[in-house]
Amino acid sequence: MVEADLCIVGAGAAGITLAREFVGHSTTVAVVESGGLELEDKTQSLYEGRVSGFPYRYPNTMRLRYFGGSTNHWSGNCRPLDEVDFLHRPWLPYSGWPFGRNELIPYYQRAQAVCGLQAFDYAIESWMDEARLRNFPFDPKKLLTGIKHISAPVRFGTAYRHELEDAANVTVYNHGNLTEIEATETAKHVTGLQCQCLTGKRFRVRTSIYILATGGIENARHLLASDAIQSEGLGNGHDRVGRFFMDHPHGIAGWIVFRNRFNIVDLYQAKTRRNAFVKGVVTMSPQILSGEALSNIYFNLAASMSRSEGEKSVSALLQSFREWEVPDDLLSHLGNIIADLDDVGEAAYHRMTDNADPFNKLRVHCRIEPTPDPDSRVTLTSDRDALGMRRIDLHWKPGDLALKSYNRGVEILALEVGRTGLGRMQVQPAGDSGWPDRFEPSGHHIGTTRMHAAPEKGVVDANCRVHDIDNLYIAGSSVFPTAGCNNPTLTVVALALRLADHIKNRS
Amino acid sequence: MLPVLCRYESRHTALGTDDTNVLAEFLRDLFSNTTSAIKVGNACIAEWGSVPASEWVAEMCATLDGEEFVDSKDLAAIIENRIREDFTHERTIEVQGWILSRTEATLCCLAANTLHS
Ligand SMILES: Cc1cc2nc3c(=O)[nH]c(=O)nc-3n(C[C@H](O)[C@H](O)[C@H](O)COP(=O)(O)OP(=O)(O)OC[C@H]3O[C@@H](n4cnc5c(N)ncnc54)[C@H](O)[C@@H]3O)c2cc1C
Repeated sequence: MVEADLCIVGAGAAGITLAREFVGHSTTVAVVESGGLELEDKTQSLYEGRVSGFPYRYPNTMRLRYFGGSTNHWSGNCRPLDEVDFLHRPWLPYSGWPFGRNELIPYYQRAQAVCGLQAFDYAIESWMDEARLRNFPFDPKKLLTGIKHISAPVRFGTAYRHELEDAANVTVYNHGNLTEIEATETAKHVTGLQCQCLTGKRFRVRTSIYILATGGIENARHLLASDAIQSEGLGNGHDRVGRFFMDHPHGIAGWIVFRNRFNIVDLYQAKTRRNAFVKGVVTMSPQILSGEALSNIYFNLAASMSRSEGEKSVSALLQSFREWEVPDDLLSHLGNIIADLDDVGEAAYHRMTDNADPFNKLRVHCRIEPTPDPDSRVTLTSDRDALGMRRIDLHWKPGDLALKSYNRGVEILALEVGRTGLGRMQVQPAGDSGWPDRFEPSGHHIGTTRMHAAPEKGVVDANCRVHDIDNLYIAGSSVFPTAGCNNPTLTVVALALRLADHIKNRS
Repeated sequence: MLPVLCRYESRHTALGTDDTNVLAEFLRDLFSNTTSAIKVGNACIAEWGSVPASEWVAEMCATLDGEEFVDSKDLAAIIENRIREDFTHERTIEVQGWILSRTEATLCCLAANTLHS
């Protein structure tokens, strides 16, 4: 029997952030983590399951089950959710968080350092001032330039392992798997956790407060699997657990070919500025999102070349960029810009134009906000894993609105590229699904224990406590009611910090 | 050389029917790279379907109708402005994935029809 004040299940971005918040605090903490310090096949295979709907890379490979969780393979791209993401948007079903973005700002500020980033500064103006950079002259009623920060990326397990090992009040139990959450007869209070190791060893955890931080799919799986008291699963009185699964569809939307060779790319290249590794991204304005009833989108522009080559070229280009003027000879360039109609491949392009300067062309990568849909969901199958737990079935559709928003967003970008005289855009053809081929999910598992003030509409309340259960909380992107289009981990960490504060105040 | 096209009825008619030399000269002046303009034009024609040159001229004339211009530089500026307006008002055509303004696509078609022969 493991006893403590607080049990955190899962040591990924959310679980480790929570545990660190209690280091040196009077609360004693038990962290139960499924894996060890390295990837082990047998443990990883506990994640296996079935998938259907939008082509989804197997859930086994889209997350990692060992100390540090999926931060062992995350890419470190960070951007807070946009203000609009928190709002109720009449055109986006089930939208609206129980609080606005301002509520999270102090936690986002703290989350920066946890994610290995410099100070919270996502205002494009301050970066342009600093580097005397310019952004694309798009109509700000349509498209904006935003900033994203890029982490080293911090591997939470490696970075914070010793801090947790050294903490007198925190104990990490690696190779311990939660298999069942036990509750009182009324299912209003958790009484303990049953855990198992793959060696067959079993143990029980008993604490005052429990936090599930096992990732966006497993959080739902554990509630659904804990059906001894509530047959539909713990906290699932309103049939919300596992529903509303979302991920961000993403892929290459097309290419922008610039009519001048030396345009504007510096701001949009990932570079170290003021000790921060940052990059400009193109986002949709709130006006266009509401005016055209679209879900959120962002465009990430990338030159098809290595960073070192880019660094060299950029300094040479910077001067012409700073003296940005719209050239007046568009027609004479038009033929060259759109000459290569047969093949947009890099080699063919350079052969055609006899142009070895890769800055003439940028790849447009796009990430789209999926539509919350109760039928996109995690359910349990009758197959069982090595611990006897039922495996998952993951069914997901990004939604018609997401596809419509993608198509319109790309169109708006192409129109603005043409209107401003930057060049022309070639868009990816649609595949059979309506999405371009090779669009795929991002590995961001969102929504299955969604947050809503009303128990019949969500699984957790605004404090991330499971409705009607007084001592069970959930951490991770499974609590997001809507996904926005930005990478989730900064928000996961901000919410974990907020939850830690809440629990400290509660006790 | 190019205070032509649709402003003056006589030239206009000549462009659309007999005087392909004047039209060719105009297009050569407009496009620095006529080979690629022809290539783009052919792709647009494949998208839109083949149309006689006179129709393209008529479309250009309609596009430029009412514009005051005196020389080729002015005409190029007017056309460039039209292209921007096309993008603003979403008058575009998608050709092999490229999002092009109708005006520029029309000019390329004109180049393909006129300069090819
Ligand atoms: C390829 C890839 C790239 C990514 N890149 C980015 C990026 O650039 N930016 C970004 O913001 N996000 C990115 N992400 C997403 C990011 O990895 C997740 O948002 C983040 O890791 C979620 O943190 P978490 O703690 O909720 O879950 P996880 O990090 O998945 O941690 C869950 C932990 O719970 C443990 N666990 C599971 N089940 C049990 C159990 N039964 N008992 C005990 N422990 C259990 C697991 O072993 C794991 O350690 C990426 C994801 C992928 C797949």
